[in-house]
Amino acid sequence: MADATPVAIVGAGPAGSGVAFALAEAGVGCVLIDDNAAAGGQVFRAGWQQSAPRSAADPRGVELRARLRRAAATIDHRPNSELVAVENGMLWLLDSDGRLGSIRFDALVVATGAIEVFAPMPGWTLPGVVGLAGLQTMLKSAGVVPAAPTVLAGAGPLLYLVATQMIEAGVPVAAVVDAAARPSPGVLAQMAARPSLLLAGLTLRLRLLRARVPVLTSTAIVEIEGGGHAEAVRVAPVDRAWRPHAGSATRIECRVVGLGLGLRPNVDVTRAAGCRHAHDLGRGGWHPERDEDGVTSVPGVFVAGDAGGITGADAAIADGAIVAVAVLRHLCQPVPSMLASEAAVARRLRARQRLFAKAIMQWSAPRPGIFDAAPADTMICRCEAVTRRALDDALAGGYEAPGPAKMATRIGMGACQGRLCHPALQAITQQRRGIAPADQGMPTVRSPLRPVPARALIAMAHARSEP
Amino acid sequence: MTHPTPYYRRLAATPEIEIVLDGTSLRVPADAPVLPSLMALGIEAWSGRNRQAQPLCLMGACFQCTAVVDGRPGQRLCRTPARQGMSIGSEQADG
Repeated sequence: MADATPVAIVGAGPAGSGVAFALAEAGVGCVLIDDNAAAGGQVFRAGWQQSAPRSAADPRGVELRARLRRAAATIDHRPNSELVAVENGMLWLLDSDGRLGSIRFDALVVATGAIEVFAPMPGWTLPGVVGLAGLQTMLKSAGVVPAAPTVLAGAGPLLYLVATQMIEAGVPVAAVVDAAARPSPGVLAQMAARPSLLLAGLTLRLRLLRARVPVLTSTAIVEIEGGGHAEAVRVAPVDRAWRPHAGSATRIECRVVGLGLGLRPNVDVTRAAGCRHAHDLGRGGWHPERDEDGVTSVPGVFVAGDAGGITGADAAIADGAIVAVAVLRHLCQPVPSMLASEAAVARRLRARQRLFAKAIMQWSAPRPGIFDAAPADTMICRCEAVTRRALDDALAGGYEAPGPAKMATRIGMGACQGRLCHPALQAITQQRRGIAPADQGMPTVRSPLRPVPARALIAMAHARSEP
Repeated sequence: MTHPTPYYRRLAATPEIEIVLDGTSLRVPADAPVLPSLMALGIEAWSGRNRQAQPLCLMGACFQCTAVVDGRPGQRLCRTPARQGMSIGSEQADG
């Protein structure tokens, strides 16, 4: 038997929770599905700090979770739940005990946030190599940090934020390696749309300076060395397309390497829901087309926060009221005047937040050369062990689009479903075959969105055939 | 699989519980995700099907930290909270 709800929201980060709170104010209930144990998303992740004597948890995350507990009568929060399929006003999820459930909805709000972008390089499959956001998650959720020399590499604001957090936690940071050039005066001027954030960014930079951590800009890792574990990185300057000059590499000893080229929208659910997507590097690459209200190309399906294009946590919070108003209109429900004015204020804030996000992207959105630098033996697809050589052979053989290249090599067909390798596949196809990402299209997505037990698939098929 | 000196450490001592990893009892912090705690014990590498690569993202996206948890295969240890008596097994190489 399927549950039924007027609104299903996927993702309990600042955007999804914000929509849920705004709907609750209007007296409309929802089911808030999240695959984490606690609400708050990546940015307001709950963790060990809350019980630690010197609390360092973001107060906005603490407030979000308290508010969710108070609203339990209206907001049906389902933590530890994995969305496996969405079709025709119905979604399927697996709870933490592996039980399959289904929910009918009148409106769906996708607030699945962002995922980190990685470029393949020799040695990136070794133990000791982790994501920058992963390092932050380890710190926030478990209070675990590197205890050995650590190199942090990639691009974007998270690189500097994580570097500062690691230094404050006593991690020996050997170097920060930034593929982007220093922000130009023009970019800095645009960032001044939000003076407090610009100042915060400059403060991070100052702290690294004071801690005497070498910050190498316009530089990238060309290889991670090591037998059974990361032991050193070789770094080299990059050109304007972020292609490293491997000939002039320098070696830096380390045991932990944090990698991350910034964020891109997590589009699993909008793709499964059949929304039309567009490619724009200024928004983190592929993202669902959305209007100012979060309305997608599919009636009744809305998107909020970074899932609709990278604009950051504050814009995600702003989306809460804005998208809730659109959802209420779709449901033909009255919009309380408080909520309407809240949404109007949020729109004005969001305009500045978007200007800032655009400047951040102009400075740090990854350029194709860094993906194309991987030599022949580098594993591009980690799940299915597809090397650069195998991909190049497929591309040379005429496989132009990600779809056929997948069929030829199994690239992107493993457990992660291409979440990690798609940016590399796309950039390499662009460089080798001259096909722009927008013309390559997005690879198809098929249910289940997560690996699920066969019995769950059987239960789904059985439920579908019921009248 | 383990290093004599772990490359990761815990910032603070928190209440611990006991889990069993491939038949070996280990003490890890309660409720925190299992994977970072194992990394702080020097356990970073995993065997299993298509496991040429090791856990990378620690956010649930890469699926390279999957293991059999209390009999359920394919569980991502980066998002599995540690519970008293939890049994974790590496996935079979041909599984």
